[in-house]
Amino acid sequence: MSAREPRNVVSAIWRIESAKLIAMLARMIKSVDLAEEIAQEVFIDALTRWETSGVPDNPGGWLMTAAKHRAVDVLRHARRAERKHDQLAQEVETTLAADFDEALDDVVGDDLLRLVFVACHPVLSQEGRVALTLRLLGGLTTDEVARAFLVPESTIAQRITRAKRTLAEKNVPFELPRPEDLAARLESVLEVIYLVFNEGYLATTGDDWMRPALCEDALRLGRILAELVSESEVHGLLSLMEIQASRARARVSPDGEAVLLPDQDRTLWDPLLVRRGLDGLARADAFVRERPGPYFLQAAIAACHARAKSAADTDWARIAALYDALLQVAPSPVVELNRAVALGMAFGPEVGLAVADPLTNDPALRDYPFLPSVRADFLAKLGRFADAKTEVERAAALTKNARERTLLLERAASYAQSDEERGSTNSPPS
Amino acid sequence: MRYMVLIGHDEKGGNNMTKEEHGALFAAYKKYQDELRKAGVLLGGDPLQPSSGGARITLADGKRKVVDGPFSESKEIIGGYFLIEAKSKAEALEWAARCPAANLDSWSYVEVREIQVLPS
Repeated sequence: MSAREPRNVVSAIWRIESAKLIAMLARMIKSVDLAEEIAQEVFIDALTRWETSGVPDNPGGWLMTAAKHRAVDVLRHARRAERKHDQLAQEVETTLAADFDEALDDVVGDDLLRLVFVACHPVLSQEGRVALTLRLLGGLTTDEVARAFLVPESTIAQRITRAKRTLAEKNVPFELPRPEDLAARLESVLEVIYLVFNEGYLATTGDDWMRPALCEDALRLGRILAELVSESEVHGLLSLMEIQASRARARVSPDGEAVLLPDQDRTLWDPLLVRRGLDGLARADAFVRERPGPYFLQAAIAACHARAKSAADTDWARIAALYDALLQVAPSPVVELNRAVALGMAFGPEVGLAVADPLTNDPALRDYPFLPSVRADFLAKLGRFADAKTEVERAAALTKNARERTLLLERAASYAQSDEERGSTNSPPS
Repeated sequence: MRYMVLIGHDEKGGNNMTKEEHGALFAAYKKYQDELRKAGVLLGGDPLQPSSGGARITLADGKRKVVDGPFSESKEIIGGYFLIEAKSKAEALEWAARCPAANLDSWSYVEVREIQVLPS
């Protein structure tokens, strides 16, 4: 029963308790780095004890108490070493006494939230934020983070060390953001979580299982955050991830090929995650203040697909309107192209083409195969098969994915055939 | 990975409980559920109505047989479940061990089962 070996029990408990423990310690001793070190010492100590005495009934409580004692020791030591720290130590003793009485959920929640904001602090590089978040909040080991991101363990260890050093050098306080900074700081947190999710979601089959597991890690972080923060975008991101994750089994064919949304077998979508995603969207909706944010809108778009029983049932007019709104809050040529697709599906290929055509002058989309592919589709629907063929061949030349290239060239061949058939029935005017 | 934390109990086990004890048990379940949710591992869960309101359906010799509850012959009745997402069996066991049903001495227990993912 390997699951019950003390080592595995301790690593499971680490996963469950470490973030809370590190967060509490970081508040007490005002250093994330030292907090993690103490937490690890406490766990190593626990492992040694439990190997002989067995795991106690309430390991979480045991660890919290042990960690507090250890922190007090560290602080007393610091006080002896340097009298100047008297006041700090005094402060800590006072809060400590209070802490022992009230292991309140609010206190734990606030500490955790501080840790979230510090781990995703904008002074850190994006890589640093991701590594620190997975390690401190996700309870992953450095090795697990490294395997998930396909980089050597030493690279992740360095990123974590560097991130912690930056936090110390920049004197980043272990505090919640000021209200005026909240939106920007939250954006940084959501970006980190979504990046982790996509790293797992875009992983291909045959990869180490750690990569797809990143989706679960991101969902877990998103769910934890949604319990701590009543902001529309937090629930919006969680909803978006739940709905995307619901398609995990449908988006890869049995032979490992990607299956695009319109071609997916919707019976393979996970109804539990769809329902959770739709519920989350409703919560996100309830928290919208001035105007909906980009995660909420993307979730709303994903929800339109999730609600459609078949690809043909999709409410494209609503999706186009949501892309309109998304363009207002997060303008980008890719969003505009998606809006063109939705408009084309809702109101006909001329409408879609009229929106897509100007994008051919956008340098950002110059090498983007989806643009000529979309235009080819509209052109073919308008009966302009020769133009459609040229466009889809352009897309095939641009894509770096062999499987996608094959599919695009198959489309080119079918457009060529349609063009020929039309040529033979309708002779061009002489 | 998803795990089902099944709560089994002897339906008569709570008969001798006082109102206060019932209240405390209810509060303990609420606290447990909150803990699962705040940790981001809870996917779903519900208590079940007593088996007296349920029924069992079997097919014997080609004939359907419907037997109404309660299933008094059994001391192990499923009384509810939590569906959780955990990184490992060890983590699922750790969560399950914190369930009130695993801490009520003889008349209840939890069973942990991993959800099987069928190939698509």
